[in-house]
Amino acid sequence: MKLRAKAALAILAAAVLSTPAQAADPVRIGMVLPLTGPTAGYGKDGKLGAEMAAAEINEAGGILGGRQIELVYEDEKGTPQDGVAAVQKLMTRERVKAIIAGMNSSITLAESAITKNRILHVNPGAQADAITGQGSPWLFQINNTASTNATIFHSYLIDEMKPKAIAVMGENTEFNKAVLENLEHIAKDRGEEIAEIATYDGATTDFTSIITRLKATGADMIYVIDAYPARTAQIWKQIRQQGGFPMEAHAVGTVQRSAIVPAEGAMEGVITADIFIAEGATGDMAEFIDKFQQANGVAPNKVVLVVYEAVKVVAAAMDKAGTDSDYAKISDTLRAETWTTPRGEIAFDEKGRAKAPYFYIHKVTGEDVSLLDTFEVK
Amino acid sequence: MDLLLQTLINGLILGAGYALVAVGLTVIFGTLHIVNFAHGAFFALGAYATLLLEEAGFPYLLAIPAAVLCVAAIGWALETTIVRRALYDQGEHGSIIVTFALSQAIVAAIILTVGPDPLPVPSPFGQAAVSAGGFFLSAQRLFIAAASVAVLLGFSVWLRRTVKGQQILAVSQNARGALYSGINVPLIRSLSFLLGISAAGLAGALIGPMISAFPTMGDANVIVAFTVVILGGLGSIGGAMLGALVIGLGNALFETYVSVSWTPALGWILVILVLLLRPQGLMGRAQLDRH
Repeated sequence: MKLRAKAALAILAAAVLSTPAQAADPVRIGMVLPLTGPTAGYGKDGKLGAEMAAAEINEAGGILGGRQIELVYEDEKGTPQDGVAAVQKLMTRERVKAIIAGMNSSITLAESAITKNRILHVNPGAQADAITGQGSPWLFQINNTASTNATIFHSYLIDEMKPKAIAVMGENTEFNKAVLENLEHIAKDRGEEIAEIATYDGATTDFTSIITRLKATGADMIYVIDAYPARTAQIWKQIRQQGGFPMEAHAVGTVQRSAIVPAEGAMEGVITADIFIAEGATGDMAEFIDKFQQANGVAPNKVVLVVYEAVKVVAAAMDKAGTDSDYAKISDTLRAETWTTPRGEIAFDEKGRAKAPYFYIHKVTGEDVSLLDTFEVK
Repeated sequence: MDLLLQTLINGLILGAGYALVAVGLTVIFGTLHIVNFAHGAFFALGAYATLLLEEAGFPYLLAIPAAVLCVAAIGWALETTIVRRALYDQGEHGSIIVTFALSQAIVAAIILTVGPDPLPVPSPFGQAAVSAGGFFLSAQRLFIAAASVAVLLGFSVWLRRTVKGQQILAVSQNARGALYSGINVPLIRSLSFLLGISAAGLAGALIGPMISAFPTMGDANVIVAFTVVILGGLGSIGGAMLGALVIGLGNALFETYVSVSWTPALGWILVILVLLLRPQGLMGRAQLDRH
């Protein structure tokens, strides 16, 4: 009897003592992705990347002494107003400890106005320089900025492909603005002629007349700046139907299989670029690609990668800083350390911008892209 | 001169496509006084139905009418269970809320069942273009224009020459008078709704190969269709066709010779001008208020 009482007491004591570890609140991270709307494909891919990262972290024992990562998703529906509403809901109702949001530059800019000085915000994919240019101390960006990417790509287009004149068409967005500014600067520097710039509204349903106008300029290169997969496919189909251009290029980081497949061959040979390519991957990247492919049955793309890296970096920084809510300390840690990713070591500068170790020039080949050239990012 | 001719051809073909989307919208408004915000969703259903039928082995040209029947069947189910109960005789404000909700539900259903990524809708015309004298004409666009003109002409003749067509016109002019004349008004309303959404489904089946199938593909197209029907006169089929040609040609000329950036505003500027100078639209009937 005495023994049984002692055993019961021991079990009770063990249960009481173990309560704090078992009931330790998970670290809730808010994921704002376009789960519906015209870029819902990015949301679907991003979610797969986030889930893989969270599963790896939790399987390895979690962070901050065993706390699990819990991802809370909100849909930004591809519009700034829905992005702002999603961020507000995650911060006020869901009480998340960090926000991962950023697939579209205009939406990310709107979201960052809400997160500024209030919560840690990591932007995985949006590129516009203005996002990290606004001086938000707790805002970080995984993808290269538009100007970093565009400087390498535009130099390649002008120096290597040597067009006589470039005709440009792109959606009127913050991303387009950043890319165009860079193109105009580099073209002026190289004495390259920009024959015409046609900036269209997001509601445009037909591009035939725009392409007719651009062809009439006599430009020998068409350069399309658009991040929406369905519209990208439509534009290239219409360019092909009007006979195409001798040289054809599409903006950095915006050409995925979700645009190439519906283009039904119309994008064949188009030159583009990105911070990621599956072809020829080795080491950590090959391992990441293999693991993702085994789990999901498809190869990962850049969106999967940057969201995966965002979740991993946020968790690692919180763990290293020893806190999930002292954002000054987490941000200092993020800037002070280097972070291991499938792409290699990345580091954040004062503005919170990471630079990809490598940059790849792609050519659309079949239903994917093939590698044309590789640059080391300095 | 070549540029002008190419632009005019672009505009005419564009207008033919707009007309097909707009005519369904105007039939539903004319007969039912419903502002159908779900029109774009039925447009998307037409494209997806074509795609799925092609995957099941239907050739494109057969998949089009089969897809229209599928959209009509879905439309009939929704008309019977929701639209008829919630909207008829309930005014235009309710219709905006209910059809908008319907649109969101259809788009969500597409995302859940087929996925969010854009998918190609194969067409035998592919990327083929007819090139003559320096002009480029997409074979799919020519097909869309020819099909639109044939369907719209056939529909106009059917409306004027058949009993059911005349009953639709009678209900759109005066539903109460039509009822007193022995016309089965509920049946005609259901028929009009099915015709309207079938036109949206047909437009989706025809335009799908140009723009790919994706859940929100109807959004931008239906916005243009709204400008077209307001310009032509809400409820007027002839007005929708005229409005579509005006917007199609106007957009093409403006994009080529003035400004690409300002083109989306052009349609709405025309709408405002027409509403100021001729509130009933280009071919709409003036509203008579009797006191």
